[in-house]
Amino acid sequence: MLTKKNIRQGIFCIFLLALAACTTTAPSSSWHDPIMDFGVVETVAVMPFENMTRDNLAADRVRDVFTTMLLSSGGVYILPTGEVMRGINRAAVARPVTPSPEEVMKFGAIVKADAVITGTVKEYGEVRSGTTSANIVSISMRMFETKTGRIVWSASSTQGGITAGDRLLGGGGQPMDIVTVKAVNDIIDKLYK
Amino acid sequence: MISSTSFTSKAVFILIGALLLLPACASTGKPAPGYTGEGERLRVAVLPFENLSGGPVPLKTIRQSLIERLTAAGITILEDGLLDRFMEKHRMRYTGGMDTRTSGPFRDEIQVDAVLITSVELYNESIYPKIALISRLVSTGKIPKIMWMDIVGKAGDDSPGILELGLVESMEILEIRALDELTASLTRYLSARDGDMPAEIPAAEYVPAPFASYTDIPQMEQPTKFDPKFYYRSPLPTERKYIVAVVPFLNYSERRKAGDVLTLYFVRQLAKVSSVEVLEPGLVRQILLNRRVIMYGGVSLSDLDLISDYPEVDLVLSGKVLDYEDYSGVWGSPRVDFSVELLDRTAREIVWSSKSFNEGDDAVLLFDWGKLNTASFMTSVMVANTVDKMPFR
Repeated sequence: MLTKKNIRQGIFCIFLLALAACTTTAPSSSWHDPIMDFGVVETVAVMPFENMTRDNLAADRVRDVFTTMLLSSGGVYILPTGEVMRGINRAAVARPVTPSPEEVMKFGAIVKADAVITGTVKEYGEVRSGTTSANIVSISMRMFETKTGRIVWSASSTQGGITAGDRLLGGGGQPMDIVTVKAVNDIIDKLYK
Repeated sequence: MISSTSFTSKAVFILIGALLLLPACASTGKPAPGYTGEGERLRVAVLPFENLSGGPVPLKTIRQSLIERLTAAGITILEDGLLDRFMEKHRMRYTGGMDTRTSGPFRDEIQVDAVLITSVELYNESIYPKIALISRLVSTGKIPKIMWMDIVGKAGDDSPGILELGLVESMEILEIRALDELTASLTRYLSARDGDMPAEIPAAEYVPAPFASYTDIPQMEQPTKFDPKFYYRSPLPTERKYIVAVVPFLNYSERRKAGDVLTLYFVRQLAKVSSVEVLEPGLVRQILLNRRVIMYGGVSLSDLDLISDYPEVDLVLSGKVLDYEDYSGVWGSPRVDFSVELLDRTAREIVWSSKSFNEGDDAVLLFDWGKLNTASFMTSVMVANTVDKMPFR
């Protein structure tokens, strides 16, 4: 015997189940190789980053911030940038921004690095929407193990951009340096997770 | 009676004579600046100025004004004719530093005790002019050593004051102020040394010139705003003394020679640290040229070996300049962005790495109070705050 109360409860349960269907499963912006032991990574070489923006210096700026922040985190030792360039020349890496597994292994043996990090700066600068503007940084990075040349970690981060507050109140968003630091900090958080 | 009078007058005569002779025995107290320990004047050669501004600068006029001031302050300056002949004889074209090839002959051939090397970092004749001069006194002899170094950076709108009565719109006035400040700083240093002029001056005896520009600008109340934004510091034993070579910074900025400018700022700040002896930049340049060191993107470990192969170099400092911008006119704010790496020769590792970026209005809350108007001054503060945190402190 279905009472009105039971029907209401049933409808409520169906409504709750339907609600769950509305949720989105945002794809994870970070991946770690499950079989990789990250504890053995002590020395890391940060390669020059690929620049996909209109700012010619964007890749150098982000790499500079990333290198210093990763080194100051104390988790790993970063090779001097000059030593990385020497290794690239000696290993004859054709495109340092996207090295092949063989090139990574050869390069790693020369500079004695446990891992190599490459990166791409996808967006760096001002974005506009109507009369509102704000700074945005979008970066992605990968880590290669030098013994095998495999990718063992990959992550991306986007920081800045136009917020509801910017649209309502204006202001132009945060300075570029601050946005860059936030994006790099986010990436390093994802590396250590 | 006659004999008594004669005796008295003789005594008075002797007394007067003795009194007249007394001033001749009087010591002048502290020797005038520029005197050597032996009572001889320090002989200084003022090298032709180096232009690091990236624009046209009346270098000869500024140099002549500085020479006049130094001469008036009691420092003996080598005649230009002699200097020209010496430079011609030794084919000396680089005037931004002193190397062993020329420092020895300077002392042996023309008896010059020290060389004054000056670089014009900024010379902007806009509505509110700006000028920045970097000057250092380097001893001659077998190995050139930095004795004194100072930087003066001034802008016409540094101190507007009430009703903007303090604004300076004339470059001549600003230039005079800058040169006076530089002369006063050098004279203070020479007076403090009591005129003693040893051939080899250890860094511990370096008397830092007071940072003249620090005194009248209030942003020093918030120095942390100009600290490195993040840094890595590896411990170093502090009880010993380190010899540091500062190699030219890589310049990625739009400002020409910004890398050389940053190098000089770090040299000046490191020379103040008692536990550090910083190599004369001309000497570092000579090492890099002689060893044919070409740095691609920074100092590699093989470069480190070549540079520090020079006796006793313990640490090598290098870096990158990403922004070094001054503004011209009324509106704007300077912008400086650089990173630094300090490499230890023994450990063959980075012992310090930092990143600094600031804009001139970072410390401003209201009405432009505390705004820094020149990249020169802001860099001085940023570099001072960076060196202050380095591991040898």
